[in-house]
Amino acid sequence: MRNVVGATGRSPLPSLMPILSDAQEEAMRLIAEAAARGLTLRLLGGLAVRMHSPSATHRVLARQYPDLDFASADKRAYKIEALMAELGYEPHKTFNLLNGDHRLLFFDPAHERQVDIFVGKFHMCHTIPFSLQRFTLDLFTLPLAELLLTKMQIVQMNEKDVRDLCALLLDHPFGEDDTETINLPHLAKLCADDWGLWKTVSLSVQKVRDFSDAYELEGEKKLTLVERLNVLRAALHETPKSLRWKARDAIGERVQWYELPEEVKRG
Amino acid sequence: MSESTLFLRKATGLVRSWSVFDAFIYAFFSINLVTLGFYIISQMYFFEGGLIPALVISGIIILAEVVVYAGLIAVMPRAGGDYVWQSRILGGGLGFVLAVTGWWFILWLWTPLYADMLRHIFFVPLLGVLSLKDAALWFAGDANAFFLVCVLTAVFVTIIIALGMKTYARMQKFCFWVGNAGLLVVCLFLLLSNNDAFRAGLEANATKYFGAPPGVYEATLAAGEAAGAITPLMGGSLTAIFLAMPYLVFFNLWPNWGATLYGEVKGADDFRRNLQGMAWALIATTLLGVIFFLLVNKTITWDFYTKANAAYWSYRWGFSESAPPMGSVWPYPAMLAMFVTTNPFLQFVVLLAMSMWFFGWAGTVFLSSTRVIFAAAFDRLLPEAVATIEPRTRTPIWALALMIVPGLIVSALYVYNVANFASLTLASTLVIAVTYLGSTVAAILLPYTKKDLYEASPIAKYKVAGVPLITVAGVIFALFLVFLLYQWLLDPNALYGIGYSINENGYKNGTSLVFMGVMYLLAVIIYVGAKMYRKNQGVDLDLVYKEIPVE
Repeated sequence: MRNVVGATGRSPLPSLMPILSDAQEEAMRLIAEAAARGLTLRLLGGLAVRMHSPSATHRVLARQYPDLDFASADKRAYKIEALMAELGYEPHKTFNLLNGDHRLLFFDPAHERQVDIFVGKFHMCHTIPFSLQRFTLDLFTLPLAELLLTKMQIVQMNEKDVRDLCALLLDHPFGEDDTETINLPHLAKLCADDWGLWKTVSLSVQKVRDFSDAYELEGEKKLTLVERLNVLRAALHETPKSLRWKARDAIGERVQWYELPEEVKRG
Repeated sequence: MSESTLFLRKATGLVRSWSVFDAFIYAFFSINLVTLGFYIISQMYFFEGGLIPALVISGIIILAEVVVYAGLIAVMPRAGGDYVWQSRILGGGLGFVLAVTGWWFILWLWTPLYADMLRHIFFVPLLGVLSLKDAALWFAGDANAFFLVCVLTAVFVTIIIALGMKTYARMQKFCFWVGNAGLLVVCLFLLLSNNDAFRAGLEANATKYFGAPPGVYEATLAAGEAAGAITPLMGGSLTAIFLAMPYLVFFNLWPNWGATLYGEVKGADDFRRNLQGMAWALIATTLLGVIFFLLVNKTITWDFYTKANAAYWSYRWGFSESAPPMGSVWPYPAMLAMFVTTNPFLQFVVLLAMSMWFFGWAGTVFLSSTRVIFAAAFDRLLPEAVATIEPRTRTPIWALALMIVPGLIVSALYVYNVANFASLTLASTLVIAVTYLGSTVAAILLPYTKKDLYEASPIAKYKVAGVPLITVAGVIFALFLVFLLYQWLLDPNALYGIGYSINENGYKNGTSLVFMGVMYLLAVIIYVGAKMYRKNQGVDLDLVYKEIPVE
C-alpha cells in the first residue's frame, strides 16, 4: 500500500468512466482521477481501515460501508467540487455552499452512496491537522496513525468504530514510522500537544478494551489487541507534554474538551 | 461521559461553524447599544415618556419575540430563517414577499444608516483626538464624506463576510471583548468623575478638537432648550412610555437577527439554548443601557445630553436654522465621557476600543440577508447563480452584489437627501417589523397547521394553560407589532414621520410610503415572474413549498 507514485506525482490520466458499484474500486478511481488533476485525496473511515486490515473481514468485525469518506490536504474546495461534478456526483448544494470551506458532501444516487470530503483538516470531536507531507505516505489512505486517531477521537463511539479500531490494531503494530505500522511517536506527539484529544483517546483506549470482550476473537488475537492498547496507553502517558497541554490539564474535565458533531439530514 | 455505552450514528456528523456563544455575540451586537442604541436614543429628544422605563418595558415585551424565534429555529433550523418558516407555513407568495422585503430590500436603506454611525463613532472622534480637525469636521458634515463612508462600509462588510463564518466569529469575539473593555473604561470615567470636570473638559476638548467656541456647555443647553428637548430619563405616563417605543425598537427589536443563520449554529434544534442565547443578549443589553444612561445622568447630566442631541438633530433635520455649538459633530456619549480627561492618548485608545462595537457588528447589515437570498434561490425563486460563490475566495458575490449595488444607490438618495430621503430612518424598522409579523403569525399557527412537525419538535412540551407556548408568545408579540405598525403608519400623535399621519399637524411622508410600496411591488413582481418562468419550465413552485428544505 506504500505510495510509489507520490501524491503530486503524475500517473497517466485515467479515462472517465461511470461511478463504480464497488465502494473500494470507486474510492481508488476517485483518488486516481484527483491525482491526475493535481489534487490529493486520501480515504479515511471504515473502508480505509479495510484496505489496510484483513481482520476487517473477520466474521466478528465485518461491517457495511455505506459511505466514502475522504480527506483533502488542499484547501481549494472549488477544485474538488469541479472534480466530483466531472465524475458524475451530485453535490449537496446547500451544505457545500455553507460548509464548503471545511467539508463537502456529494451523492451517488445510483448506488445510494454519499461521499464526505474533509477539506484542509479533520474537524469532528477534535481537530487533527493535515499536512501534504503526511498525505504522501500512502497512495490511497491517510497514514495509519491518522486513521487510528480519526476513530479514537470519537466521543460517542458506535459499534462500527469499535470494530474498525479492533481490526486496525490487530493487523498493525506500533512503530517509529508509517510503513504498515502505526507511527506511535507522531500519534503520541499530536496528543501531547492537545489535552482534549489526549483525554478522548485515553478514554477510547479503555472503551475498545471493554467492548472488544464482546467479540469472539481468538485468544491470541485478543492478547495482541490488549497488548497494543497497553502500548498506546503507555505512550500517551509517557510522551512529554506541551505547555499548552499542561495549561489545559489544569482545568481538566470541568470544561468540556470535545465537540459533538451533529447528524445532518441530507435529503 | 459514559465509558460503557456505544452510540447509534448513521453517518459522519458535522461540527457546525458557530457555537452558541458565537450566536449570543451576534444577537448581542444586533441590539447594539453603542451603535443602534446611542444613535436612535439621541434622536428621541421630543418624547414625554422616560427612556429607562421605555427601555425596560419594551425589553420585557421583546422577550416574547425571543420565545417565538427560538421556537421557530428549534422546529426548523434552516439557513434562510423567516423565509423558510413563512413560505412553509403561510405559503410561498406571502413568505417570499415578506422575507425579501424585510431581509433583503430594506437592508439597502440600512447601508447609509450603518455608515452614519461609523463616521460618528469612528472617523469624527478619532480624527478629532488626533488633532486632524478639518478632516474630522469633513467627515462629520460633508455629504461626499458621508457617501465615502457608505462605500467603505460596504467594502468592509464584503471583506468580513468573504472571510467565512469561522473567521467572522473570531473577529466578532475579539470586537466583543475589546468593545466591552472600552465601554467599561467609559463607565468608570463617568462613575468617578463629576459634572464640573465634564464641563471643564468639554470646554477644553470641544474647542481643541472641533473648534467649538468658548461657552459651548451653556450654548448647547440653550440650543437644546430652543429645539424642544423634553425627553425625561425616568417617569412619564404609561401611554407616553409606550409612544417612545416605536422609536426605541430601531435599537432593540433585533435579538433574533441571527435567525437566518441558525443552519450554521451548533445545537440549533435545542430550544432552551436558542432562547437563552437571544434572551441573555436582550437582558444584558437592556441592563447595560440602564446603567450607562444613569452614569451619563450622574456626570454629563441627562439634561445636557438630551439638549445636545436636540440641538444636533433639530439642525440636521432642518427644524432649526442655527447650527449647534459643536457644529456638525454628533454628541457621541462615549466621546463626551472621555472629555473628562485631556489625555489624547487615553482618549484615542478608549474611543478606538469603543469603535469595535461597530466593527464587530457591521457584518449584520448583509450577512443574515445572504442566507435569505440563498434559500430563495434554492427554491428556484431567484436564479441559481445568486446562491453560488466565487470559488477562490468563497465570497457569495452575487448575493452581496444584490445587497451592495442597490444599497449604494439608496445611500446616495439618503446622503444627498433626494426627495427628503433622509427622513426615512424609521422605515428601516417598519418593513422588518412587517416581516416579523409574518413569522409571528406563522409561529401562532404552527402547532395547528403543521401539527406533525410541531409535535415532533422539542418545543411541543412547552405549554401555557394547555396552549402552546409559541402561540401564546406569538399573540403577545403580534399585538406589540400591530401597535408599532399603527403608530408608524397612521402616526396619530405626529411623532414618527414615516407614514401618513392622521394628525392634522403630522407629516404625510409620501417618499416613505412610495419607497416602501415600491419594495413590496418589486417583491410581488419577482415572485409572480419567477412562478410563471418556472411553470414554463415545468416546475411547480407550490410543490417546492410543501417540502421542508434539507439542511
